Amino acid sequence: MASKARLGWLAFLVAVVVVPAVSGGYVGHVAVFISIYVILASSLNIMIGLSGRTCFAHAAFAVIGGYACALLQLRLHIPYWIALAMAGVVTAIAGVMLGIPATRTRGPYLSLVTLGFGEIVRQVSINAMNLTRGPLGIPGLPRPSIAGRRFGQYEMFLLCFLTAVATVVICSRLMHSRFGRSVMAIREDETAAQAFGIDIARTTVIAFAVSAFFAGIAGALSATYLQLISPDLFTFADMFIMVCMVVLGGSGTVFGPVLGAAMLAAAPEMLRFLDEYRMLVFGALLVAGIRWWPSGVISKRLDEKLLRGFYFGAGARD
Amino acid sequence: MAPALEIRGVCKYFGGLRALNDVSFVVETGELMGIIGPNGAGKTTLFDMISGYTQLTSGQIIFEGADFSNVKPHSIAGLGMTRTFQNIRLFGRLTVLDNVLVGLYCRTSAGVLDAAFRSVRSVREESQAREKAAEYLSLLGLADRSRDEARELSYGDQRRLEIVRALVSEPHMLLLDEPSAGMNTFEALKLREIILHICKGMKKTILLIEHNMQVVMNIADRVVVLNHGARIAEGSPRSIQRDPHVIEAYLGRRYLKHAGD
Repeated sequence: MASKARLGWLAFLVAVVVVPAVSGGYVGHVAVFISIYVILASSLNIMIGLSGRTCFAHAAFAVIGGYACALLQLRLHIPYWIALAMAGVVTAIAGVMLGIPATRTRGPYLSLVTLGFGEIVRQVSINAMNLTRGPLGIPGLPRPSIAGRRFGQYEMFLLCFLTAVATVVICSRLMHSRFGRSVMAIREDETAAQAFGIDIARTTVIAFAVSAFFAGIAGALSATYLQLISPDLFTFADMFIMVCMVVLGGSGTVFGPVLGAAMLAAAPEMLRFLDEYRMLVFGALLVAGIRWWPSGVISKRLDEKLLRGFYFGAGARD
Repeated sequence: MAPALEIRGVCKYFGGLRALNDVSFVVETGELMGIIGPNGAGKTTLFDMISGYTQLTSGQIIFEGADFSNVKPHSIAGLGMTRTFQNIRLFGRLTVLDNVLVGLYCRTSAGVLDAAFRSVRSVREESQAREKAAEYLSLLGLADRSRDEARELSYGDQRRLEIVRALVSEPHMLLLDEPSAGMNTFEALKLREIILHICKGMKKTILLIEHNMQVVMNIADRVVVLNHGARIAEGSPRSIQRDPHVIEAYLGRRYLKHAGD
């Protein structure tokens, strides 16, 4: 059983790494964006799935991460790898700044606060001309290099893919940790959670920060890949797609957002033959998905099963 | 030795409503103290003030010699006091085991980075926590349900899970808010033995709100009676049952003449 699961995962990993290398170009481009969306959806799941707070600021976090990574390199001449990590940290700080007021609100009000935050970020990135060059964006961002070799598309894919795997592993560890349990306990019953020592405001702000950190990294990676950062790197439409990825895949599970990201990032590409009807059909498919899998494609039980395979049956979950 | 809990002249006014008016009593260490009183007497309000959910209007609450007035709800567990709730408040979509592990939150310390990088310390802490949770679950006969979601449990099991969750952090003092509510006679009697064991066997101080006289009168060392926000009697269960104020509060003035029969 364990070895079968191991083989399955191994085959999957090899396929994922080899196919973009062989086919290159267009497939490679889609593979990069699937990886980036896996990071975004998995980290958004910390808010939607674990904390039960529908946060609409994820696209804004990604934009902040993109600008942070670009400006740290261009203005402060910080080396790429450090700028990438710092983009995550800067975005986590933005997450704290949003989290502090947002934790005072619940339900739809919280969603509105996060939506407002997204609009603030957009307006600032459009109007702070001397910092962001406004709607023109900042083109020509350098890609990183290792041993004198500049990253091409495939290297960028590997970087995004490895980051996505790391994100999924960390998110799954968080879910099954003391921290993850405390976030879920708050979701289930705030009054009871407090009685066992959980500080609601502190814990929720940390959840915002962790979620934002990964969104910032994802934004920095996509800015690096496109060699361009502009206010519409991730738009409101992209953010709603991220929410759909989490919900349709299965919120609160490890693999749900991964599958959701893969499906919804690939679907518009696979529907290209429909030309102008493409987004119409895509929307219809979304509605149908929610109709048939109201609680997501990946159930809790299936997720547990997949996780045991992921850890090579090492008993990590028992 | 200082008493476990001291309530000194505690008042709580909601606008013009006097929910609690100058209530004082002392719970000695290791004692099982019952609180009874008709509906609306202020029992749960008192619990909410002791555990920090409601602010005091005036008065003082002292826990183990330290001022406990207006303590934050999330700091009481760490100080050695936990509670259960009148309306069951489990984490419904978490497993039974995870519910108990949340009970250990105040006794563990692993943070986000520990979890992300599986630090040696946090792995050890987690396995110790799981061991302890399993131990306490089997103590109340819930071990074989540990992987089920809490909301799937029967009513009586949910009540017992609340007690396990409150007990697992090894508090000095437990506040139990109507633990037998909604239980049948058999379940209530079983619960009575469990509460007695927690107090006398495991040496915990217990403050128990209870409507079921079968439970409270048989196990409490002393009983405090509240009515309309005031303490009207205090003493052994036997003396409480004969107290004219208590009989009047529960049954009405005309039953007074039977008192002492």
